[in-house]
Amino acid sequence: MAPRSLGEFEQIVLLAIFRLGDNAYGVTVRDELIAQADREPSFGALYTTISRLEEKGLVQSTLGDPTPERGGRAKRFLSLTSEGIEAVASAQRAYRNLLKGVSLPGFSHA
Amino acid sequence: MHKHTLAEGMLSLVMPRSAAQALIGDCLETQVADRRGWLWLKLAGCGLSYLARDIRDHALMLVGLAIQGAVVQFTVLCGALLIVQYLGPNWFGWPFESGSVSWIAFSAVILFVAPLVAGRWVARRASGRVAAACVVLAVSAPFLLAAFNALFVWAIFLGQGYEQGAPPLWLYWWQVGFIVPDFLGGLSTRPWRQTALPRPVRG
Repeated sequence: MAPRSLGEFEQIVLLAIFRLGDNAYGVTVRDELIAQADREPSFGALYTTISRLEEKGLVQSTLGDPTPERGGRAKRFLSLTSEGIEAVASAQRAYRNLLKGVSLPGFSHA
Repeated sequence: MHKHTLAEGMLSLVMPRSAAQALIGDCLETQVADRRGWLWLKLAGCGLSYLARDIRDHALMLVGLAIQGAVVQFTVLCGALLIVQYLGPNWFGWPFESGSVSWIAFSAVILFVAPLVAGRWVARRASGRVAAACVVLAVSAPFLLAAFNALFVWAIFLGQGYEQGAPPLWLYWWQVGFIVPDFLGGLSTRPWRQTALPRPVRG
């Protein structure tokens, strides 16, 4: 099956969820995007993207326990499905291949 | 009603209730103290984002639902018209003239009951995209109803062999107000395929 195409924002959301591991939910994903990607998405933009990724089968969610500071509402923890991991890996491979043999100012190859 | 419960109800028109609850929890967790209206602003932004995404991503499905809803609305209108204009006067002696009970009842059907029924019909089949379905229905229903009416009247005229001009279109600005009963229909209906609550697996 051909790998799913991902938008740039979808990729960084997937990577943020992957980095956060067991503690990925709306607030922490947004904080991670602010800290690591210098992006400050609105809640609407972030949640619609997560919802789209869920519909694509790249992200799955589970509910945690309700907590008082959240008004008794549960956190919705996010994790990548195997398709999600493959999709983001495929996108990163494409980036890496395209960067081979070229040098971008201010960017060093890992 | 508690404001967060109200917010949950409104958000669940554009997303599964479990997602709406988690979203409100996230907003509460990051809420800035002493900023009135902040939560509602955030939630309204999220709701509109979901609405726009639903309309963009599922346009064909929503238009199909709107056509179904308009057919339902038109059928209810035709049924009511049949009762007040033919069966009422001829069988029961109910006059159908301006200000009569039949006239008031028919007006209520046009303005409220038919769009309400259409809203409920569409909401039950919207797979959780109730708000998007109701918006598309409300925007397109006046045009669709006008088209159905034109076809219907034309068919009758042609069937009776009359030489008539273009049939009336029944397209009025106040039909935009259908959005209110459409939404009430949507609000009063549980979505057909509301996403089930995932099981809590972690603390």
